Amino acid sequence: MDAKEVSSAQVHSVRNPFQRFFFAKEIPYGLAIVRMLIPLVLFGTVCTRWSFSRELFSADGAPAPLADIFGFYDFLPLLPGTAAVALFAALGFFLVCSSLGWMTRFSLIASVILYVYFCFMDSISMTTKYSAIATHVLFLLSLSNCGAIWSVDSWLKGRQARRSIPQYTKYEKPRFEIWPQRLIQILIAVIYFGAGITKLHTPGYLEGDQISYWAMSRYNNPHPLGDFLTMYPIILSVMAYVAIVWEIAFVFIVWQKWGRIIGLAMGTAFHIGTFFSLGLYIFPMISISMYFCFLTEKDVQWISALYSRFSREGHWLKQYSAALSSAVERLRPQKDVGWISPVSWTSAIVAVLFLSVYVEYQQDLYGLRRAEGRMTLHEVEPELVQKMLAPEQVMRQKDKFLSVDVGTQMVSGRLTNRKTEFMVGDLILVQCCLNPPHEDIWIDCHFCEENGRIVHRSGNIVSREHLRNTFQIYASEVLEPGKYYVSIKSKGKEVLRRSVTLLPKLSAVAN
Amino acid sequence: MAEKLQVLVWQYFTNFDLIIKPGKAILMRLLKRGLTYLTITSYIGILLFGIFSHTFSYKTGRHPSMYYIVWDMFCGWSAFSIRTHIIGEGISGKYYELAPGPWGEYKPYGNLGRRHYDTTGDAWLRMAMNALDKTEHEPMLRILCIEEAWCKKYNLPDSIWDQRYEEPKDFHNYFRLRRVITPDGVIAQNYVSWLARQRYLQINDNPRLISDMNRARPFFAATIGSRVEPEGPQHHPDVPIHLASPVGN
Repeated sequence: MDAKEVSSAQVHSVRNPFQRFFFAKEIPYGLAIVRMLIPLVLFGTVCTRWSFSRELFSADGAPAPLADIFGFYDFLPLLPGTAAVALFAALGFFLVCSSLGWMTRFSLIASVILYVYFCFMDSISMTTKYSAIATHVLFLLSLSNCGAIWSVDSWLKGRQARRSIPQYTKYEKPRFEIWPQRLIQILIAVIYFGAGITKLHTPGYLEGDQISYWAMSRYNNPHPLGDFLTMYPIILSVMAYVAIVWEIAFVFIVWQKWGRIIGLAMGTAFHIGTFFSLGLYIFPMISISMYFCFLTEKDVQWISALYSRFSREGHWLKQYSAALSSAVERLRPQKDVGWISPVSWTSAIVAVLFLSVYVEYQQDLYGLRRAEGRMTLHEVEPELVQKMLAPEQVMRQKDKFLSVDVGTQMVSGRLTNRKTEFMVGDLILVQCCLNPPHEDIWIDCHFCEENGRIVHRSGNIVSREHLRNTFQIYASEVLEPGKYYVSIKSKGKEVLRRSVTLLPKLSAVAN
Repeated sequence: MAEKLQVLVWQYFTNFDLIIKPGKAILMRLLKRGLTYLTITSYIGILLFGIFSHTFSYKTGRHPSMYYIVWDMFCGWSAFSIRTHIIGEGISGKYYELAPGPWGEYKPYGNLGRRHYDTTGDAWLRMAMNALDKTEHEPMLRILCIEEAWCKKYNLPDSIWDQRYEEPKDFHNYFRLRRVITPDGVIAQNYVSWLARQRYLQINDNPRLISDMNRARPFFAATIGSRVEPEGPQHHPDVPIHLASPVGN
């Protein structure tokens, strides 16, 4: 082999995996599913906001432009109320069309432009990280041929394509280079990597404190599991470690055979977990929908084979499937009329624009056209005003403390077995958790008899950067079995209390 | 002669077609492939810049578009729940609710109204002026933006509380005036948030620190007009911007 051939082979050895990775041709099954799901989820968010769109996005309301926060005032023009309402409805229409695959590319491009505009107009209730992620996905979908299958466009084109090939030839779905699909996959990996970096930056994340406070907050939808998990901070801490390892490792494993399955399974579990424990609804839907971009042609073939086996076994499934296919085929336009689709699409968008303006006018959000005149402001109760305008209050000591727990085992600085009953001779651990922010604080821990007599006292300084302190109390044999309590005091006042029962030590009795 | 010329011209054009048309197709294919390469490298480059920028806190606040490439979900949650009240004081001495307006309020992520997610307070003025603009009301003296805070442990449901605490819930909320706005929309007073104020109070709970601060403070004004706000950009691009929406931004 001469030098020229060697160098050429080396170049090819680098180029070929790259070529295969980005330019292999596949039927875009995964992208088609992403195309169907993401716009549909976003359509839901558009629907809930539409009746308030005048207030949220227009000059006739109270928008909160994202660019203002970055110091770019008047970055994008604020539209008049009616225009914002109509365009927001148009966004909904484009999203539905994208999902259905009707005039797919144009609908996706229009969706990206309008979605970005409206996100920029309301940083409070529209701009979130899920909307940023969805914007990327819509943009990448608009570059792809995601509408080539499982879409209205492909359905309309189908008859023409089938007619043009001989009867005995099997109709094959079109194949395209997979680079847009790869870019979505890379986007997901980069997002997780970035989120992992954020978690590394976040103090108190690995200890589970941050998740615990998030679970206690009421900014999201109800999340009963999160409330429950606040009682077990060690579980939150373990979950925090698993999440950060998974997020950072995702980029390295997801293009491996088993890595893909493990990474996506953990991701799905993670996002479903945030649904129940943090009350996030839209974010998991967007994230899990995006995972379908990892679906390959082989996966679909495997699923298809599985389906065929099921349908062979269950005749009813085959019958239903055949009936559905023939119904769809009957609905398909018989003549090759390429102009029908764009014309009906244009008519539909015009109808949506006019209808939205009309409905919103009738709705009269601000009540400006009411027969009884304009709305009046609600008066605030004087007692509440008095409380609001009272002189500044110093934070109560008890509000600087989160909890006190007693037990005997610790893992990772966390008490893991909360107990109320101990044996005489046990070493009792009393863990006191504080809320940030707190000053350098002296905490007294008193172990008292039921009648209040102190039998053991200890104290410690907890510096401002720490959120936990653990006291050790030895329940010596001199103590009578019975009821006791642990009292946590700060600045001479009891802030938290925990009852404990001392049980007599059972010794082995010779029979 | 004319026939010969005609043949020559015909040959030229037929050859031109044969040579140029496939060349054009190859050129178009190359152009398309080049554009694809450019798209892939640019897109991945932008994503990687976002990661770099976020990891090293470099120019994350440079431009609004940075929001789309910095993945700072979960940037921290405090131990206190914060709510916002925007009220107007009428000339009669009565106080009126300006947010939400009498037409209701959009609740974007759960059961909380939109105003509670605006922790930077950027839209408070617009919300108040919009409510005044669209309603019948007496003349206003001033508009007050007030923050309400309470310890998050009181958010726990009673069933969980009873398992974790022996004391009954002793809910207490704190209020803090954040902003005073004139009826014509001019911000007259601005104060730090309740949480920032608590941090300040707790750091200042240190006699040695206070004494050092007082010693370092000049007795006379060091520069003329030192109390006037300096001109120039108010936000440095390297200082991260965290929006406080609940999906971790």
